[in-house]
Amino acid sequence: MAVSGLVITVADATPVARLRAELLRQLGPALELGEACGNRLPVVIETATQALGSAWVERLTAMPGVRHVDVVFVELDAPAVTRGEIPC
Amino acid sequence: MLTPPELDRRSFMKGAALAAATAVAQRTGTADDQAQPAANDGVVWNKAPCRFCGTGCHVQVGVQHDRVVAIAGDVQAEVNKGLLCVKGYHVGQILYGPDRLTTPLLRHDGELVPIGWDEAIDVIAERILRQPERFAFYGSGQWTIPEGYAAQKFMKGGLANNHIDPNARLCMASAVTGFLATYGVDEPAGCYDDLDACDVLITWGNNPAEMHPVLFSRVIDRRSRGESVMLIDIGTRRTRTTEFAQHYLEFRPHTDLAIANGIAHLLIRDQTFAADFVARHCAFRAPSDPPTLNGRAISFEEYQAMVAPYTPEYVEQISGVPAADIRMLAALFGRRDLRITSLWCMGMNQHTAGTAINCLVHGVHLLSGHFGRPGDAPTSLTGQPSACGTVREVGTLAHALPGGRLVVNEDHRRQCEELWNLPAGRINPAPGHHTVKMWQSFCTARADGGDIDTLWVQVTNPGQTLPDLHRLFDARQGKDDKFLIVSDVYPTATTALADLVLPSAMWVEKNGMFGNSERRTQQWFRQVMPPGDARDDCWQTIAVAHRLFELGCEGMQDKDGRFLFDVRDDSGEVVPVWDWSHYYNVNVDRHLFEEYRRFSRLKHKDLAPYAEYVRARGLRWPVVEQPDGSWRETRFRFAEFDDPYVKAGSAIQFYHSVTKDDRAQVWFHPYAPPPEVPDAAFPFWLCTGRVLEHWHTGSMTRRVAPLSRAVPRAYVELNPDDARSLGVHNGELVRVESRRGAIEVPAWINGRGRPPRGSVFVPFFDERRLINQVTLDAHDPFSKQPDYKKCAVRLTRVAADPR
Repeated sequence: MAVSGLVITVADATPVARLRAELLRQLGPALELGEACGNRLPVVIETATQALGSAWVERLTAMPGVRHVDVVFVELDAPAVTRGEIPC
Repeated sequence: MLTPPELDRRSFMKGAALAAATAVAQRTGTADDQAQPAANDGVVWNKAPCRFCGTGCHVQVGVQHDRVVAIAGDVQAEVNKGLLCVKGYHVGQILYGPDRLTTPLLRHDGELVPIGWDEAIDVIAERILRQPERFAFYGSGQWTIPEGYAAQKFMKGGLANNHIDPNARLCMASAVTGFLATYGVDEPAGCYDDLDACDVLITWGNNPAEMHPVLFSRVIDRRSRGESVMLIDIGTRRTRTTEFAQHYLEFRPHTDLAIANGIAHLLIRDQTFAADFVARHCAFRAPSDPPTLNGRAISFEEYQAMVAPYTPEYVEQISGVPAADIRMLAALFGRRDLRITSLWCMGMNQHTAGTAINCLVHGVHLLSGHFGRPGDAPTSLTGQPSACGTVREVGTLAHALPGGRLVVNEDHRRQCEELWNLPAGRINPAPGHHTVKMWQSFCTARADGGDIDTLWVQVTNPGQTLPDLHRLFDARQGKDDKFLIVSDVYPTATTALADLVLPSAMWVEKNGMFGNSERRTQQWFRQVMPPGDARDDCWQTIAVAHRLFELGCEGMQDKDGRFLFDVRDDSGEVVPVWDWSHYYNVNVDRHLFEEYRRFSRLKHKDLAPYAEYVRARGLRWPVVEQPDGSWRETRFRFAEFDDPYVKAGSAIQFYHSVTKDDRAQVWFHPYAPPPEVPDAAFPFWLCTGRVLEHWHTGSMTRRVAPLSRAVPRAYVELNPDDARSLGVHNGELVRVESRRGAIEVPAWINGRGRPPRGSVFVPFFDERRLINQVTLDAHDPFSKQPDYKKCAVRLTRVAADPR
């Protein structure tokens, strides 16, 4: 399993609570949400591999309501990328 | 002793990741970021409660160049925490339909022609002066608190006329009588916090997934975070709420009475009722002969004998709900380790035994001790934004006075006369006409006994919402001695038959205050100007009052000869607020609210000063001043841990008990069938209601393109087996007909709502398809609230899909 700590900067017109709900809907138990500070939302995602974690960062960046995603923590001991594990 | 959980590597890494992310977020964030959405290109943001439902979400309204250009959920709001529903996100657009009413219109030779405001005010004043006792005011749960208070004072304090009643008579009057009969005082004891704490949520004939989606999402959000919350949907048809429920109990219309009695029966039979709670805090009552709201006292043994016949098997026979499900409900209520919230709205209120079913569900909670802790709550929701704040608290009902008082009570009348500085005896002790009676009278010729000739409607659309429309609304046509005045924002089914139409300001085009379903009073300031010559409803009432004052109407002055709506500035000078050009020289809302809040202490519904509501995203009453000068709201009434009025050491105290012994009443009401049931000629049940995308009669939402496109027209939901029997395919036109009228609507089969065989559902938002021409005006004997949820209809296939 790979753990990634992210800071999501929420777009100006998007309520943080709405984004929280959408993240929960999409990621479910793989997601842990921290307390938002202004429009910055700390989250932790847990994925099977680091590659999946990277793929999720890209996907989150493209999500409506998200202005930017900073990766601030990555578990470096996780297994190497395995082909075919990109989320659909 | 608590044992710390084992910390494995995975948990440690997740904790470290979150700590790192939080630290980074906080280092680059500032406190100001949370205050409101960042200003952008000159957009100015201010708060307001949403214009729509009784949830009372707060929004941030973005205004640029005197126009609402953006809406965001208000993250500081406890109610919605930044979230909005699909209607809320579009609420700003309701101001900008192309056909806003912008000038007064008077009907001449069948046509509405523009006139000036002075002439309009003269017309109204003249009609009232003819015979003030034959004038009636039909108001609304969408009235702001000051609007309703002004109308209330005008009618009851000024004209000594109690013919003022609201559209909320049609939506929550039975909730009121249920609360009064049980606790001796209106409105829920709990609040929305109950939804954050309950282990079980039971929806009784209620579809919150569509009707109160932000509230419902509070529960669903908990489940998405891994919390265990059981949802039980007790309903007459499957809805979107059902899709989230672990248990769906489908019952035959009207038999909710039997279900509630069945739960009570089992709690007593199995000795799982809360004996100590009941012994300390409850008394028992049953219907009296003749029937009265407070019935007669009975003993616990008599109550036990009365519920004895309601065995699970008998309840199954009546209701169609399996006996096992009745036992399941009773088993849950019999557990003290669970917290149970019951939620209801129109299914229980729009019911010819609405008072009874409200009492019974309160009774189940009291009998089982599921009361007085966060998450343990029987809670009635409202549909309108201020049915509570305006109608129930200001008392804009034909029998009521502000602050929970009654016109029939001599002490209450005297208190109001003193607070209003009126001569003793000014207020009329006879209740006025409730809604159905008011419209019945207005639609009856004087020669035939109709005693209402002039009727002023504000902020509501009775031409679409009254039951049995042909009789209660359309019948006014051709009666030349009748005069209908309508204040509204758009043309509606009501303005279509009006004699005088007045253009009104809307939502953030005026100052306002609302009171939502959880006793939260909320305030907003005007943020944009109304279009054309549209003006505040409150101003309209005051302007008419002043014209009457000028014409020598004694009722428009207090006992010192001052105008009833004497408003002064900080230097003590009179501000002529009846003159529109001066209306916003002062804050009339603040003036009226400060006067009104003096009425609120009698029933411990204390309101804070206006300035506190300016600061807050609402406050839940009673709001009580603290020694340090701050104001503290109350989340949970009657419970010592939070309600400042509960006697120390009581734990629970029902301090408005009808039995004057601090006890709530557990009622028995028997099941009896409704006044109209399907028969050979009209073999289907008809239920009416709402949809997510449209609010009530759609006069606002049908003018918002995304909402209107989402659900463009009304429809009839029918069961696929019934459709097959009738030869009806999806989308085909169906005639829905009762003994009162008929409409034609397209069929929707296997849509978002799924009625059982023998039952259909039609939403009432579409003014081109007035389902209330079909509904029944039978009403609850105490609340006078009609039943929109059940009458008998027949269906006929009309044509192939017209699209």
